[in-house]
Parts: sequence; C-alpha cells; structure tokens
Amino acid sequence: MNLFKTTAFKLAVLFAVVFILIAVSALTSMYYYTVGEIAQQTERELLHEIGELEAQYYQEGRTSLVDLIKRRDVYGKHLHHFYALTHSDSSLDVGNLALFDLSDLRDNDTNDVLFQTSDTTIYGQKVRDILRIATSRLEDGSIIIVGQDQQSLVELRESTFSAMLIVVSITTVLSLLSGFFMGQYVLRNISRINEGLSASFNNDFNLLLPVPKEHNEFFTLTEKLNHMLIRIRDLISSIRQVSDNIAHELRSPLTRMRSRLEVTLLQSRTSAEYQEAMEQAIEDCNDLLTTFNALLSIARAESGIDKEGWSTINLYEIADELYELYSVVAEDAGHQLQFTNSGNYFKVSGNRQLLAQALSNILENAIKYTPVPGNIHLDINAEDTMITISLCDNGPGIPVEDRQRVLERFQRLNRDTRSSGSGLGLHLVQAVAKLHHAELSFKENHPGLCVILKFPSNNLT
Amino acid sequence: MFAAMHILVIEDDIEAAAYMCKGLRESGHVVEHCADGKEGLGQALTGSYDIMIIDRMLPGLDGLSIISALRAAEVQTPILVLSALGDVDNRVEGLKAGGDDYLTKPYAFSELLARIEALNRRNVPLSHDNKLTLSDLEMDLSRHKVKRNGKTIPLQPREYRLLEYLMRHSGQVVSRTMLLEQVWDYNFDPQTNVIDVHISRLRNKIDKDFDIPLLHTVRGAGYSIREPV
Repeated sequence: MNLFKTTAFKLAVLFAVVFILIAVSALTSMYYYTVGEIAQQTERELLHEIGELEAQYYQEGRTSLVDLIKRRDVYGKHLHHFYALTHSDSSLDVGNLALFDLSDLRDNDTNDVLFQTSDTTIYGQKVRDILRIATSRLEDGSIIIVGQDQQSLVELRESTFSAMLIVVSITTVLSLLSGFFMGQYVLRNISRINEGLSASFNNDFNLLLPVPKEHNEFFTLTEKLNHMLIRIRDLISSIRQVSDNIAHELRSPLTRMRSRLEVTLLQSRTSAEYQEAMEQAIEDCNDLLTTFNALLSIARAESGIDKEGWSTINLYEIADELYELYSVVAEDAGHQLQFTNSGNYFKVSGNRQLLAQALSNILENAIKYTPVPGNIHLDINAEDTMITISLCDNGPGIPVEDRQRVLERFQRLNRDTRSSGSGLGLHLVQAVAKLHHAELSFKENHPGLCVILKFPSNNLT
Repeated sequence: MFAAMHILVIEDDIEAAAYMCKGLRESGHVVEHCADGKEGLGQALTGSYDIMIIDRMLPGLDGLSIISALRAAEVQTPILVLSALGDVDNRVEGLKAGGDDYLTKPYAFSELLARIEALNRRNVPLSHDNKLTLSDLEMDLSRHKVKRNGKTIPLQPREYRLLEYLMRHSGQVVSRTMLLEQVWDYNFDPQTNVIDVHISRLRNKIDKDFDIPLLHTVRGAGYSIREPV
C-alpha cells in the first residue's frame, strides 16, 4: 500500500497543518501586541515632544525653540530621537534630519517616513532609515519635526518573521518525518496481519497470526482475529467430521439393508415374505434416520449455531421431567430410578432441547447398561454459582483408561454392536456440555459409574 | 373416524412428491401437486383445501414466503412445512411464518400422514360439557376424571395428558415423535422406546381389565385410540 495513502500519514499532515497554524497565530498575535504597544508608546512620546516644542515656541518665541531643539539634539542622540525645524520655505533651519518630502505630512499626527539623517553613524552604529515622526506647522509656515528611530521595531518584525519561518520549516519537517514513521509502523503491522491471514487461509486455518509483543491495539486485533481463525478451523473440522461420520456410520446399515433387499429378490418369495422384508427395510431406515439426526444434533451443538433456541432454562424442571419420563422405562426394565435435589437456584442460560437430549442420553445409557435389578440415582444440586447434575448407577462402570475414549464418536464399551443406539450418546452429551460451558466428568461409584455435569448458573448475585 | 382431505402439495422434488401423493391418495385423500413456488401460491389462493404441505426450498418463491403471503391474505388453512433444514432455529422460523407444523426430511411417510390428520382435527370443537368420549371411555376435562364403563380410573398427570392427546385425535394415528412433542414438549429423537413404555402403562390402566381394547399400536407408525370395529 502506498505510504501516502495511509491514515497515519494523513493524520501527520493534518497535525503539521494544525501546529503550523497554532505557531503562526501565536507568533503573529504576540508580534501585533508587542508592536502595537511599542508603536502606541512611540506615538505618545512623539506627540508629547511636539506639544512641548510647540508650547516653547508660542510662549518663548522662535529663538527659544531653536535653543531647545539644539539642546534636545544632544539628548536625542542617546534616545534615537531626531529633531528638525524648518524655515517657512521647508528648508532645514536646525536639527539632524534631512527631509525628502513634506507634502503629505499631517499635523498633530505621526507618520512613518524615510529619512536620511545627517549623521551616518552614531557611536559606531549605522543609523536606520526608518523613523516615525510627528510634525507641527507653526504660524510662520515652518514645521517642527520630532522623529523616533524605528530600528528596534523593524528588527522585531524581522526576527518574528525569521522565527515563524524557522518554526514552520521545523514543524513541517518533523511532522512529515513522524508521519512517515507512523505510516511505516502502521503499514508494517497491517502487512504482518495481512500476510498472517493469507498464510492461515492457505493452510486451512491451521496457522494462527503471530502475536506482537507489545499490548497495543494490534495485539488486541491479532488476538481477536486468532479467535476467529480458531473458530473457523473448528467449524471446518466439525463439518469434515460430520461428513466422515455420516459416511462411516451410515455405510454399514445401508449396506445391510441393501443386501437384505437384494437377497430377498434373488428368489421368488411369498407375499408375506416380501412384506416382512419391506417392513424390515423400514426399520433399518428408521435406525438410519435416528443416527442421522443424532449426528446433526452433535454438529449443531458443537458449532453453537442454535442461538435462537437459547433462553433461561430451569435445570431442575428438565431433570424432573426426564425423571418422570424415564422412571417408567427404568421400572419396566427392572431398575429403580430415584430423583433427589438440593439447593434453590437452578437456572442457566441454554437450549432446552439440547439439554433434555443430553440428560436423556445419560439416563438411557444407565438404564441400558446396568444389569437388572439396578439402582439408578439422579441428583441435582445448586450451590452458589454451580449446578451439578449427577447420575449414578451400580452397573459395570467405565474403566479409567476408557473414560476419554467413550466421549469420542461411535464408541461402545461392550463389543455388542447389536445393541440399539448409535454410540453417539456420550459424544452428544460432551458437545452439549461444552456449548453450555459445563464440565462433564466421570466418577467411580463403587460399584458403578457416576456421570457428572457441572453447569455455571446465571445467578448474578 | 376417517375424514378424506383435499390436500395441496407444493414440492419441487418430483419423485418425492410422486410417492407422497401416491401414499396420500391411497390413504383416501384427494391430492393436488405443484412443483413451483409461484404456481403453488396461485393454486393455494384460488383453490379450497383442507391442508397444505409446503416444502421450504422451492423454485420461484420459497415456502416461507408463500406461507406469509397466504396468512396475509387471511387464508387460515392448516399448513405443514417440509424442510431439509432441521434445527430449532429453522423450526421456530417456519412456525413464526405461519406454519402449523414442521417436519424435517428425511421423514417417515406414516409420520407425515399422522401429522396432517392431526392438523385437520385441530379445530373440531369439544362437546359443550367439556368431555371426550370414545365407546365406554369417558374423560371429563373440567374435573380431570377418567371413567371406563362407569369405573373411575386413577391416572398420573402425565398419563392423563397422554390419554387426552390420544382422545383428541381418536381414530387417527399419532406418532411417537408427536407424543413426545405434544405431551412432553421435547423434539429430540430418544434412543430407547421411552414412549412405548408410557403407552403400555396407560394401556394397562384403561384396557387391561376391560373386554374391548381401545388403544392400539400401529406398526411402523405409532398409536391410535379408536372405536372397536
């Protein structure tokens, strides 16, 4: 990307302009204030002087005025004041000013006029040519002129200009430089992220972005992007697994069904035999459907996309309903099913259908795998911010080394593949637990197994 | 008690539709079929049907839009939505759009049949004294009492609800998933025969000590409570 198009650079240019404007306006206002003060002071002094000289003329006469001017002349050289008195024909009578043009001088007012002084140096310093003068025309046509050197003012003006120039140049250079470096910094970080994303994309999202060492905004951005990449990777993996699982799990029963039907067709059969074969095929299809639905439930639970079915759920109610649903089944199978509860806050944020399905799976497992007559105990306990559901039986249990394996798909402990159910039960429970931020664990029941689900409640107190 | 229905099927999968229509006709119903969404909507607006079966994914106009349009036109005919999209979100969507029931593919034909017959029965008013009667079995809904042949039968609350649902759909086939949905409000697929066990309990209470069985198992489909032939 072009450096000059980066936001950082544009910002730098903007700041440069702002700083320049600030500096310039500060210097300008300072200049006008100081200059203004000095100019006003000069004016006051000049008018005061003229006033005094006029008074002298009108009170004591011209000769006295001339004397006064001569005396002031001596003083004046110290203070950069200049005096002059003209004859009525505007030629110089006394004083140290040589005039150019008096025509547009205004009385009792001050002007800036270019003068050539009679002395070219005063104490070794060359005298400047700019004076501010005050004039007064006397009744005999001659003019009194008092002037003040504006050198300091001119110097002030020039140094202010220089200062401004310097400030503007320095500001511009510094701003552009910092803009350049900032732009480079941002570009570098963004390029790194872009490259990381491309690399991740090309590697099926198995690569994550390198995380910068500093905890700045790029760090946060990178972390969040990495979270997304992980999620994408998991979703893809989940989809792949579902396809694999569908292929795996559906292939055998489909083959079975096909062979059954093919074999039936090998010979001529009775109507009853055909009917039997077709009814069997329907049963096979039903089993396939069940497996298919279970796989989809798991995929959905793992990908967490069922967000609309999400609400506040009372786990006690679900546990109670399922207890009621399965107590009959348990009894019928020859087991005893008990339900106990303790605590008072059972609410979590969750999906009712998935939670019921998970609990149902655990109950079905207990009923199926516990030898008759069995004791199965469902308990729900609410404590602080944790709700624990446990289902304990006195069956054969799961050996410790197998406990991780049963959570994987299509695992059954006993090699009896004829038992109904697809072996996806506990895997679904695991997926639902994860989705609800719950923990699934097993505990030895001496004898038997306890399946434990720990949920964080949505109790905010 | 069988009631032949006039059914409109809007489904673009020709083969699936052919089998569905065949099955419905052989069950005694009158069926019309459209394979395109726009055409289907036109047909739905001009014809008069007892039930419509509408697939979600259609060429022309999608199923949910058809349903919304029909409801906006004040067509109150019960609609069963068929869909390959099966999760809870989609189900809720389908019902929100105005559908009355939602069935995901692949489905069992018997399930489809049971559900549309249940939908057809939905609006039948109860007798004025709030009772459901079938042969000598009587359910008093206001007093929560069940009697057969004059003898009071004590039922657990869930058994009562189960019987009520069956009675409201007497003569019809009710599938296991329908029961799980309506009586327990769960729509997952249980691995075991949990519904069967509850039915057999109920059967023990209302049929065992009496001469004529009323509660029947319909193989491959579900259950039905009906008058003896």
